[in-house]
Amino acid sequence: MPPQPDVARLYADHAARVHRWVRRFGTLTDPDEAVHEIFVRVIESLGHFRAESSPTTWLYRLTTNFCINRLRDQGRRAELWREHADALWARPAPDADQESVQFLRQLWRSLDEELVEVGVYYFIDAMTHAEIARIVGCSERTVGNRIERLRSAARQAATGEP
Amino acid sequence: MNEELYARDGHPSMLSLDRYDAGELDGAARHGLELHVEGCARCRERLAAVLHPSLVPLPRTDVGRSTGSATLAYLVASTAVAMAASAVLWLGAPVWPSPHTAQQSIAEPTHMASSYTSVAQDYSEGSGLELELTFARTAGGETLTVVPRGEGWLAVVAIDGELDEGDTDGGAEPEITAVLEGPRAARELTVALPRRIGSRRTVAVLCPAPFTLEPGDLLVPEPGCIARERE
Repeated sequence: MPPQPDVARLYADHAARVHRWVRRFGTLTDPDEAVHEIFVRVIESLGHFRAESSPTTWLYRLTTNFCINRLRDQGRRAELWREHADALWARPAPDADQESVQFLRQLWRSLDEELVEVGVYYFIDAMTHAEIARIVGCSERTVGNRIERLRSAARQAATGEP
Repeated sequence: MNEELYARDGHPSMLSLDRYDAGELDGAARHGLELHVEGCARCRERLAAVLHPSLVPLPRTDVGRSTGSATLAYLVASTAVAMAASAVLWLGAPVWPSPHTAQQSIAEPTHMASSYTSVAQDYSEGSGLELELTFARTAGGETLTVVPRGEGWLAVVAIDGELDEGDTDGGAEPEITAVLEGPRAARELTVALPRRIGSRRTVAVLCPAPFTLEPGDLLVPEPGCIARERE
């Protein structure tokens, strides 16, 4: 079993970084509180850390999933947040398929979490299939399939066809 | 760990820059990234954003939170030493506990000033930290725009009680009844103000380091922080 990262060290080294990652999701209710909740999850998830990725990568995934879920919850809880949650898709990578991004921006709340996560890494972070596969812990083929499903959802939204 | 360094556009991904900053890249990867950054203005800019001085949110010590108060307490306890060390890096300034944590876990400094206003005067002589408040009436009510002079974390709160201007020894600190905005790092904040009710007052707070404020906290003066009340 790989050595577990030390929480105090992780917090000291990464809290500011996690705070910056949280802020890119726009007006998430309270970035400070989000950081604290993410580190609570870190403590709860230490047993799952397998050292297959670096601590930074592991935290990045944990933060991304936390923020996606939080934005969804906010969308459900309060109409107010609906207009802000689009910030998630506000800064796609320059070489991203812009048309798909536009439609995903409208659709993401109805998509599976695993698709949204891959969508963020691919369309916003411009990561390669290989890097996404390593972060998510699946094969590159699975990543490719999920990206294709995202594009397909975007095409359906564009044409109105099922 | 053989993680990808470069994004589809051929530049290091932001995650790679973060891993570089965290010291997680091995020799060859680090050297390759440094070579790229040296010749790429865009990536120099992105790396500078990653390397921005650390602003570490203070761990909260609240009990009764909905998620894992026990584990949060553990986190706070286990990070106390590390935080003390890392916090010294914050903008080159000493760190003070938030109003919230000050009451619960950290002893107050012996040179605690008597009010935000007097602290503001002391601090502004050294660093120029200051707040400018502008009010505007709109069709929907009133807005407050806060512009800090100097880098820091901003919050706008409603308080019940008086923010004393002079010596407050022995005086009760005002209670925060609502956090209208922040705290967050910002160059400007504009807040829609609720209608004043009774003795509620609106106060902008600026601190050189991240802090926490919650309804029910007392607005305790903190060295280095300043507060300004609407006129």
